[in-house]
Amino acid sequence: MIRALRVRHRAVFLVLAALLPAGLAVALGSRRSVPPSPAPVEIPEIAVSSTPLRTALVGGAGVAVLARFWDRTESAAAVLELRAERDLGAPDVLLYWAPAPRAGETGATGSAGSLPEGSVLLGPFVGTSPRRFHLPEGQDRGLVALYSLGHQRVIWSWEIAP
Amino acid sequence: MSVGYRAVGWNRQKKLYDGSLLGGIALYLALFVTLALALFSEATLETILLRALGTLAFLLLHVVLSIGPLARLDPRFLPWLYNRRHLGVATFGVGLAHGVFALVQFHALGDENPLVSVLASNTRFTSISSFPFQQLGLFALLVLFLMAATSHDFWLRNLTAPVWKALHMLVYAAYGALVLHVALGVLQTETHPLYGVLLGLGVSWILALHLVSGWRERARDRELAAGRDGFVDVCAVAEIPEKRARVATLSGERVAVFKHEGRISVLSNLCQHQNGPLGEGRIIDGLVTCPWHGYQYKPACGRSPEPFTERVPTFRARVVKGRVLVDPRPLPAGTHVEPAPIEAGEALHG
Repeated sequence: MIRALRVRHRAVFLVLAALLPAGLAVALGSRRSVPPSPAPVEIPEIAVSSTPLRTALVGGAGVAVLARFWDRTESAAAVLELRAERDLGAPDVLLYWAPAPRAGETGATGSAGSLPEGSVLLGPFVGTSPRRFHLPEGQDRGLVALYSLGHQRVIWSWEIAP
Repeated sequence: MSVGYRAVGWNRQKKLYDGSLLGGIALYLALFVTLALALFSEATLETILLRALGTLAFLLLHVVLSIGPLARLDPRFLPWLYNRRHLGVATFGVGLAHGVFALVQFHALGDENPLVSVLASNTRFTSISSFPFQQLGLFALLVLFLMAATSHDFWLRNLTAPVWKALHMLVYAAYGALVLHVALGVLQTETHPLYGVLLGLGVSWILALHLVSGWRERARDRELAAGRDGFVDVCAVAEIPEKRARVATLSGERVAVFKHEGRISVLSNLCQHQNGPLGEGRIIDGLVTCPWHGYQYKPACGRSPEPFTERVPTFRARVVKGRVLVDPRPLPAGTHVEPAPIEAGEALHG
């Protein structure tokens, strides 16, 4: 290397030695305790006046979700309430509803796999706070499923039948 | 070293170097993905690959930036320097893969042009925790591209070694941008202390290596003063090992004073290829041989042997009472200077 470049090299590294540790300290010192995330989407509260028709703590694939179901509400549509017992540990979780379960199927199940055909997206499901979802009008029998968009698979499901 | 341009002048050492490099890259990616899948169930494969490529590119850049000063501090690292450009191109390739993955995963699914989205989706330049760190990564990637694109000897020869070297010093700006890209990006959400400590260690390593080697070079750049006759007393003949050189700084630049077969020859210390330090090389088969890439020059005239055309400046010298005296005024590159004979007994003086 020619002498002029050696001089420039030394100057560059003196500057970097001053700036980089300072920049690093500021960047790491300014971290928030909670990772920044987009502002939460406003979701209108769904009112229910009666006691739930069904309540179940459904487990499956390391996921435990408390589910409550009303088949009659003030808006005349069935309502589903879900609350995860702990963080789901899966990325980009969405709640789907698959209508018209086959006759004779009852009870709660948890399974992993792909979404049933004709599934309808009810909304995103994050955190451990209770969330309520309207089921499509006129439908009160079917399968609800939590689907990880990141893992491309169902991580939890529950069949609702009268 | 070749007369014409070829994409790569392959030889056994380059094949070994590149084979080890590709094997190491594949091994790192496989290990990273396997461990991440086992340890972080909430992470997607895309995210894991993104991080595997990002950490690998950053690690490779640390290796690239370590080789130069390590070779200055200890000649045993010189073989790493031999094919460093391939390592640099590989670093760009891995960094590009990381960038494309990020572009597709975070910017390609909207109705905006993904590249525009990278530049325009976050403009919170006054925020630290939400700083648009992607733009720092993009800047670094552009610099690495410029370096990879001009890494061939075609560009080296046509830009000239000083310009080419100056251009490639942009890598230090790219490194600074990447450190901030990591600190303001992934480390804002990944708050485990280990990650911050690793980044701090990497930065400390690079800074310490370059500062220490730069300091040593500064000491060697101290210029020797000329005597009344205009010649500079460089050293005693006995201080120069046979077929090796002593390096001294004269008239603002370094010269290499070689001793060979009872004579002294003085050449510019700068190899015409990449400005490598000729004075740290040896005389092999009667030719001064650059320690970086093996370019060779005749000691008496500074010309490469036929059919090669490289030339370096030469200097007049004489030996008086066992001391080597050098005229600091360089002669035009390739000028023949009769080597100064070492009289019997003078080699032992000093």
